[in-house]
Amino acid sequence: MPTLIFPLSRIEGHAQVVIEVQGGEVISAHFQAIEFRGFEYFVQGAPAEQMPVIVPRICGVCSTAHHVAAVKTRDFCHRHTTAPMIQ
Amino acid sequence: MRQFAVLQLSGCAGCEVSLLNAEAWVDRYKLVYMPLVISAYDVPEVDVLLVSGGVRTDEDLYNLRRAARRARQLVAVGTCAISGGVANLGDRDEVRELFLAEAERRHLPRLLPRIRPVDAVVTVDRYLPGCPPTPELFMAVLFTPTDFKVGKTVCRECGRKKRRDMRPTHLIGFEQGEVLPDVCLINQGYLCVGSSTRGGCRALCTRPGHPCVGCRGPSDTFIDKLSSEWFTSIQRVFAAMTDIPAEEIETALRSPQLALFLFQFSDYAGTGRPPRPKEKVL
Repeated sequence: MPTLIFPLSRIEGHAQVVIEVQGGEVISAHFQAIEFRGFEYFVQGAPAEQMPVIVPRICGVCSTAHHVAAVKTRDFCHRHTTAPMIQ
Repeated sequence: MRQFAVLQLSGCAGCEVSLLNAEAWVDRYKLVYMPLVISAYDVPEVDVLLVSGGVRTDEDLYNLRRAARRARQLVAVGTCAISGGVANLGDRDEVRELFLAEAERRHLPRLLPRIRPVDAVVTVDRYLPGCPPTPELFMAVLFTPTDFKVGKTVCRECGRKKRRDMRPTHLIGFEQGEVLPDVCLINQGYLCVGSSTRGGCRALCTRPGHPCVGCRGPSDTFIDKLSSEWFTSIQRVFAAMTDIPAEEIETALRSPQLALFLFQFSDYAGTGRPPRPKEKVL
């Protein structure tokens, strides 16, 4: 049973599409994200003040979004209004 | 035309984005492989191979070994490739336990026992630290211009004035909510490690007012020494410029945010390998 693996490009991270073929017929097709660093786990227990530095490294392409989200969340938790410098 | 490729291991593609922001190489180098922007399945023979990201999964290990054979020169780019970077946080024991529990349940890719720097697997010709390195540094590593001059430390490039009349007694920086322009961040009570961090970034963070987190690693003075010397040097700077208790600095320096970057060259000294030569580090 041949299995075709297509690595995907033009995305951030590593992913592939795996297609199983039998007698010219597609048996199954899967999208697999094959990169794992575990941000969900290693940020647990780290001080909230440090999130704006850690989470932008989730994705270098959209790091600004992660950074701003972290800053806003922290401000919300501490019931601050966002400092003028950050706005 | 010389050809180069970018191999992405476990990282965030921030280095690639920074490389794309430096556009002057376009006329002189041909980019033949970089999954972020080019649909090519394999690394061809190249003059320069930039490797970004750390070696986290067994697939990273396989890809790196295979690609390294086809490159005449290999450059480790970014903090992840040099020390594991942000993913290094996943090597803390308590996090590792969580990882393993989840990995079995969810069919995650096979993780190596710990994240490894690129030069633990293959021979590296040059290092380009930074998270990410600035476009200017990418140009410098691709072309090695003779007129490329950088300050020895971030402090030298920063230009904020150190003041004798401002001696904070605690790390109060972030509580103030604002930054005075032109005054050293240490005088304002921020934990800034620019005094011993490698220059070359043109003080991109400290000039607008964010303390240096040390992403470029130790300066030439500390690069081949134990991490404790770097640590002591930062303590000395704070003792000279502030009245903050040493224990407070010590605790703050060991926080995860700074641990991301601090010790990124020297922590690897414990593995029995010689320290990375400073001539190879841009």
